[in-house]
This record gives sequence, structure tokens and C-alpha cells, in this order.
Amino acid sequence: MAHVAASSTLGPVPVRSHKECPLQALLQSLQESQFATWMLESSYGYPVVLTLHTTGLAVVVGVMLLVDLRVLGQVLALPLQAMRPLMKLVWWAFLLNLVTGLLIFVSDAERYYGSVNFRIKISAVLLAIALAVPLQRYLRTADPDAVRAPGGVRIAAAASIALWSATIVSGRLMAYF
Amino acid sequence: MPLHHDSPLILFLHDSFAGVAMRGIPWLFPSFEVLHFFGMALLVGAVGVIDLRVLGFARGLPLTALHRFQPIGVAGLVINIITGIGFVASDPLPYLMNGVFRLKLLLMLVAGLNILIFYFVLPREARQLQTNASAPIAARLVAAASLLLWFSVIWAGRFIAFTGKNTL
Repeated sequence: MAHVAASSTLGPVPVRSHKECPLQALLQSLQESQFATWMLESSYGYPVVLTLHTTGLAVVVGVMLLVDLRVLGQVLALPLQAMRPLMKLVWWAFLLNLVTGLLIFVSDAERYYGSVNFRIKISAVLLAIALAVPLQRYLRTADPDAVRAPGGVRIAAAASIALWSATIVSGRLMAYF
Repeated sequence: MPLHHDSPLILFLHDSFAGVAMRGIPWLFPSFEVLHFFGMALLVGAVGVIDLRVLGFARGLPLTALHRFQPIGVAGLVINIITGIGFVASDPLPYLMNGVFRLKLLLMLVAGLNILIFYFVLPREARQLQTNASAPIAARLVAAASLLLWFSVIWAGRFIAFTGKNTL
């Protein structure tokens, strides 16, 4: 009974109220929502959403890599302008992953929020998306006869490959820590 | 095909160098998972865009030039076969007894045959579409099948973790 005596001298464990930490309260209410419960308990909710997220990942990273490589000077026989439909594909796949990613986050909000790999992944995604916009503009506005993209654009393309790779690494490792 | 803990195939895979390494080195399994996802993206990017072009998407891209990305798809496939063997060797029985895993192997086999049809059965013109050229209907069918098959491989792969015990 020692721990009972000890706890009675220390008083009740202080609980931080939701008013003190609105973010914590939000995360908690998200993961206690009916949707979150369904995601975790139904036999197909989480598997289907995760499978869609994986499908989107393959399209975003795989297709963006081809665009980045072309901007870096590979396969010059591909006209830059003609690469533009590929960006449309990347954006649709990204939208799929934004939605499915939010659903996965909501299902276990507190754990993901506290995960180092989650934070790295979100940072990498935001930066990679920020680079996709000027890269897309370059496809539209570039001189069709230019053999070499300007230095800044080539740095953006190389960084895009690195950032999407970081997204895969941190996303996959979220399962571990 | 019923398999047991002491079936020759299971013992061979389990005791192989790959199996011993995957169980003995703690960071190897997570690293292989990361690589497996990279391989998937490489394969889907290269093969998927070629298939879409055959189907009439992004007609401004000449297929002859697009084929120069093919080594990327091959690299992705090789990475994923190697890492995939690693996963199975780490604990062969639950994978080989898993129906979805068997389905994935079957889908990969059909997808591989489909690629052979594209390169060795279809007429050469189907692979050499110039800018704005349309592919013959047979080539479109092969491309549509390729997309469907490779995405099914991803979907089956994902479901191995949810249908089996001790599978990831």
C-alpha cells in the first residue's frame, strides 16, 4: 500500500486542463472522434486509406523524379513544354495524399504529432511542394531550345529529388519512431 | 501448396544468408522497407508514364525519348526483388502461406509477361511513337493492362501486412 500513502501525501496527479493547452485538446478530440475510432477498428478503413496513400506516394515521387531529371538536363529529346501534363498528374496524386494523409493523422493524432519523423516528413513535403511551383513555371516559360536550365532552377530540381526522398525515408520510419 | 516450418523451401530461405542477416541486423529490415518504397516509386514513375503516353496522355512527349527513362524502372524492379527476397527470408512461412502474397507474385509474373509482349510481340512502331502520334489499339491494351497490373501489385503488397500474421 506504499504507493497509495505516497500519492495521498503528494495529492492528486495534476492534470493539465484542455484550456491550458488547446492544441493538445484538439489532437485528443480528433483521435477520440467517431471517424478515428472507425479508422482504427474497422477491418478495412485503415488498410484502404493507407493503400491509397501509398499509391499517391508512388505517383508523386516517381513522376516528379522524371520532371526533375529532365530539368537537370537528362533526356533532352523530351520537350519541356510537353512535360507539363506530368505536373498535373503530380498535383492530383498530391491531393489524394493530402486527403488520405489527413485521415491517417486524425486516426492517431497525438502519436503522429509527437513523432520526430512526422515533423521531418511534413517539413520536407512543404518544402518540396514549394519547389514544385517554380519548377512547373519553368516548364511553361523556359526557352524550348535551352539545353541547360539556369543554375537556380537546377538547384531546385536537385533539392526536389532530395526532399521527396526524405519524405519516403521519414514516412516509412514513422512506423518505428 | 501446404508448407510447414520444416519444409525444405522454408528451411532454405530461413537459414540463408539473407534470412540470417535480416533477423540479425536490427536496422536492416527498416532500411529495406525504405528501399522497397523507393523502388516502387521508380518503377511506377518510369513504367507508368510510358504506359500513359501509349494511352494518349502527354502526346507531346515522343515515346522513343521516354524510353530512355526505362533503366529507372528496371532499377526500381531490381531493388524491390532484392529487398522483397529479404523480407520473405526473414520469416518465410507467414509470407509464403499468405494468399495475398501469392496473389502479388502472380500479378508480378503477369506484369512481367505483359512487358515481354510490349517489347517482343507488338510491332516496332508501337514503341516508337513520335510527337503527337497515336498508338495502335493492341499497344493501348497492353499499356492499360500494365498500369492496372503494377498498381494491383502495390495494393496487394500493402494488404500482405493486414491479411497475414507476422507479415509486414
